[in-house]
Amino acid sequence: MRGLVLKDSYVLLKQMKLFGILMLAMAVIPNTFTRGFAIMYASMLPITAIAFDEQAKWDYYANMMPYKKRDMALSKYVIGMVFTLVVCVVEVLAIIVTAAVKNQSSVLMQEELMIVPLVAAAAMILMSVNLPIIMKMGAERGRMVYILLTVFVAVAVVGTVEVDSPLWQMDENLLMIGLVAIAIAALLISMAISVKLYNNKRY
Amino acid sequence: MGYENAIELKNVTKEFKGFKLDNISFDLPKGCILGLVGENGAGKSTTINLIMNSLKKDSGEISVMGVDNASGDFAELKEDIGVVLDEAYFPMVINAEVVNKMMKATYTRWDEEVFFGYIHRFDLPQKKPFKEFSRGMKMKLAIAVALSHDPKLLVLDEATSGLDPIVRDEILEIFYDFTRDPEHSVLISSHILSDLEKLCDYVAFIHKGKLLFCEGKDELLEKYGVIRCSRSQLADIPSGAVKGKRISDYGAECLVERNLVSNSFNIEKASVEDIILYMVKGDK
Repeated sequence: MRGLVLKDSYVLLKQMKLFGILMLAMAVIPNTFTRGFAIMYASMLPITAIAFDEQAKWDYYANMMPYKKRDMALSKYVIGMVFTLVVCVVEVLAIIVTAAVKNQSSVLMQEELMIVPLVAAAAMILMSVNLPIIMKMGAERGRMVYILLTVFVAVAVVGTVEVDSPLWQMDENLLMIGLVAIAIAALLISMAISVKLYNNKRY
Repeated sequence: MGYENAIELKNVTKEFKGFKLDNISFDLPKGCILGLVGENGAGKSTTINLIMNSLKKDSGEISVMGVDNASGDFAELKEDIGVVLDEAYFPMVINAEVVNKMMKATYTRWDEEVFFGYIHRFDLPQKKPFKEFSRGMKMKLAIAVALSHDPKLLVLDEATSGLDPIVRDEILEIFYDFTRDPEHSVLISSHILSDLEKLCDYVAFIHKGKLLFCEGKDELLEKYGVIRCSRSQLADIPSGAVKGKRISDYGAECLVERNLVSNSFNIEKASVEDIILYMVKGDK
């Protein structure tokens, strides 16, 4: 597993140098939207890693090495989680430093801090939906299916949940616990599906 | 580890749409080199993929170094197997130094001194990205990787194709040296029959998904011979002895089983290439 994660990290850092700098810049800018985008972008890096693997036909070669198929599937989740965690840590530090420099109130800082795990949990849910599709269909086709699916879900949610629904007024703490619990469950289910898909994959 | 054969295939079958690898059985004895021969699409790479369990067989049994390749222990056993495929499939941006780091985290017996020894010997750059390597350089890097984790078995799928004759010869020498240790074995598939004739102890010939023969190279060369004669003399050769023939306006040539033909014929030595070409292209 360590060899696989090392390979993906190196390939992503080398190929995505400019995007990496942009991602960190967006994480530092005091804007909720750019910060959220940086986390979402980090969680999508496993798709890019899979695309590079497909380009090099790496999986065919890796199958000859002492990697377990389970590790080959799970290493992509590790990459997604590690990069998301790094961006989250950068954002938390940026929020604390910005609050100290601007002499912000601690309430405002706490609110901003709260958004980081919320977005990270949402990113992990999306990654959980995403990765099995990509592993089944490949990076190119899988990406298209994923975008269509995301648009469909977004339209369905906006179209069915009323503007004055109590869902939008949910307690922040409850929302956080709920979202984190859903993210953990989604990750576990998604990992199990991906391992199964990987075991049946033909190279 | 106590095993007699580095690789054993028993009645292995795998069917795809439009192709069937049919009931393949052969053994690679420990300490030997077995050459897998056949045209493009004959089933050589499929056989190698089945041996490495990257393809699941429909039926039959495969064991590698005494371990069933479908068992859970096989992933661990891959520590002892060095594989070189027809191309080196490393990500484009990595270089030899990163390959070393990756493999150090992959193989428990990875020896970076041996690896960089090969990098130096093959005159490969350490920092140049893989995408800037020529085909020969890519293959050399893959060979360096396969040899740097103290493997007991080398599985080489067209590993020497695309290399110039001088480099090919150097690499064949390395493979030959590898089997000086009686614990070491090599399975090599190649189009270049002269390479295999130079290197192998055994030759397995796959044609359209079927194994036509798997025999010791020396026995094979002893068993078959070529007769060049007139068309009328051809009728005197027992038809059961003729394994393939070519008839032209100037005469006839045929591959025969030596012990089925009378000594009165002048039987010339056949090369592995002759044997295979007559069997595939010659009329029976």
